[in-house]
Amino acid sequence: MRHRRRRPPVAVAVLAAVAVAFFVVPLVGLLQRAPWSELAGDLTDPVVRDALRLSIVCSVGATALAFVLGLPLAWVLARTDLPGRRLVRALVLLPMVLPPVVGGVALLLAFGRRGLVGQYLDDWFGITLPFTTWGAILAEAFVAMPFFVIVVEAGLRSLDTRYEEAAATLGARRFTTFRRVVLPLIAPSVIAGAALTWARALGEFGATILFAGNLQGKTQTMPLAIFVELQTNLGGAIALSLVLLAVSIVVLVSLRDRWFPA
Amino acid sequence: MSLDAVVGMTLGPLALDVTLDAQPGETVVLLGPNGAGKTTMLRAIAGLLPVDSGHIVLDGQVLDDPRTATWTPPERRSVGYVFQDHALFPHLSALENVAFGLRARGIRHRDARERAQAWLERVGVGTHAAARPRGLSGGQAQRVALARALAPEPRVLLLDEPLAALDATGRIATRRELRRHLAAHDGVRVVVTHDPVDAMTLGDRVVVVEAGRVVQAGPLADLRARPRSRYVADLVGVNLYRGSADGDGTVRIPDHGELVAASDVVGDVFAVVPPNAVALYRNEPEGTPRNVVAGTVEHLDVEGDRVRVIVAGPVPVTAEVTPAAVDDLELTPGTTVWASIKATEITVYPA
Repeated sequence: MRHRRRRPPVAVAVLAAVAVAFFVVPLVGLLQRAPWSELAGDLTDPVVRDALRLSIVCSVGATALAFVLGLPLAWVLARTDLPGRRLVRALVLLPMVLPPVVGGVALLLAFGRRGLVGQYLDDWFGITLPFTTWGAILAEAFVAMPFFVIVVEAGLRSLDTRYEEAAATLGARRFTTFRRVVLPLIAPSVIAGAALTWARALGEFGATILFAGNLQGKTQTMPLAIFVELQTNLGGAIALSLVLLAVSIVVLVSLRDRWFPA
Repeated sequence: MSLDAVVGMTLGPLALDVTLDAQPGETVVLLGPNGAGKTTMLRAIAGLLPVDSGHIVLDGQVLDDPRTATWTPPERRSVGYVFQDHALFPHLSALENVAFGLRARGIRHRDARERAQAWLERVGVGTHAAARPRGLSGGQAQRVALARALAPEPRVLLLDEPLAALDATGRIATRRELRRHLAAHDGVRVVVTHDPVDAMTLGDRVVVVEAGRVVQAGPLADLRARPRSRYVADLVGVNLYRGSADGDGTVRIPDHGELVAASDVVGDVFAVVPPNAVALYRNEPEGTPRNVVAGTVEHLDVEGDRVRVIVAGPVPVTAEVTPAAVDDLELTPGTTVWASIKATEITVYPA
């Protein structure tokens, strides 16, 4: 026999409905204004096309950076008992709560031409990061990498260490063990972490505009282009917004098993 | 080729201090209750845990010795380890699991697969080469785990409760086979178990570990004939008493009365009475037996075609009788009985 759920009190139900409406109404607003017939034309506008291309380059670049640096970091946090691990974890997670604009200022002061590290990059190697595509990638990675690190660290923690021990007794060195045993077994976490990181990088605005500026074809990613286009070309802004909305929905749906277990 | 392990470690409440020697071609069984430190001992030998004090020496090569800061990581020890619930790599097929150790030691892909297939056939799961661990039964997984550990031909083979994960039917067949495969491995074999039947079937020599210490070691027959602790006596199923003997055969058991044995040992002694040498009567018997003790039946345990009758009294004793005798004597918990033991059936040895 099924248990009948009790109905919520009226006041709670009303407030919950308002909350749902609060999330849904803006989406409806966006969709009802969408110039569906001119969408193809809007998306081929040079500003929009550059923004699309740059967004893909920068978000994929930031995700790759998160993989290369974040995977070892997640391993250190999950599998070693290095002193100060808790502090390191707190520092890594800081960009998740820090306003991205503050992150942008901090990046500028560190990697800008006169910055703490940036002046040496410029003097010794002739490398300039701010206001370049590399700068945009760096800004996105700064903000998005924490997602990768926490998801992969959690995946490593939930992996039974006996698989690594079994590999070691079979003569596998630690890197072989990681590549042939650990990585395949935590692949779902790595994919989920990468997807979240990529989605966050794709939407990055504050840190990017402060550190990399807003140069069409160089650092003007989709969110920046939307901000600019809103004042001159509403159709383009809506078209780009729809693209980002579609991407968000795809990421949400593909990760549903992980975040919304039935 | 031999293993010399002296392991001193503190892990939470457990203070481990165990010495283990093993020769090639010999199976040493570490027998003891759960939490005695048996698995920790295996992990130390494999290099999965460093010892706090002591040493691990294999064929004269020091693998672990904190005094000289010597430590060899597990991947550079020639050790095969069969984990308690197998720890087969879930993302690899049975064949790839077995080939893993060969590949890690630099054997080429194709050769490794051929040798892995031969190992799978040798342990009787050749037809399951393509199966993932999740598709294998407990017995099949156990065989794959054994093949995986044996394939790189380690000098030491360590097995942690190899039969614990199997059900009763699979257990008997697997135990017999395991004995055969162990005999075919020419290195040192160390098996951890809490089951005396496993110990008896698999081991040439038994080291009994209790609360991190060795309480007795030797061939199983010696353990059976001369147990030196309550735990070992219970394992092999005999009555054990500790008392003092004065040389004329009388063994005084503090707080429990005395037994008369045909023995001239003097001093602090153990006395062992096999339960099948204990006869039970409803009325006080007359005649030759020197030892007759009264008591009440506390409990009856049916074990196959035998019944173990636990009798509480001044000298607590366990008797082993036939089910027919239980019926004849109308034995139930609470029944008053007399237990008689012939003096010649009691083994007395110095404690």
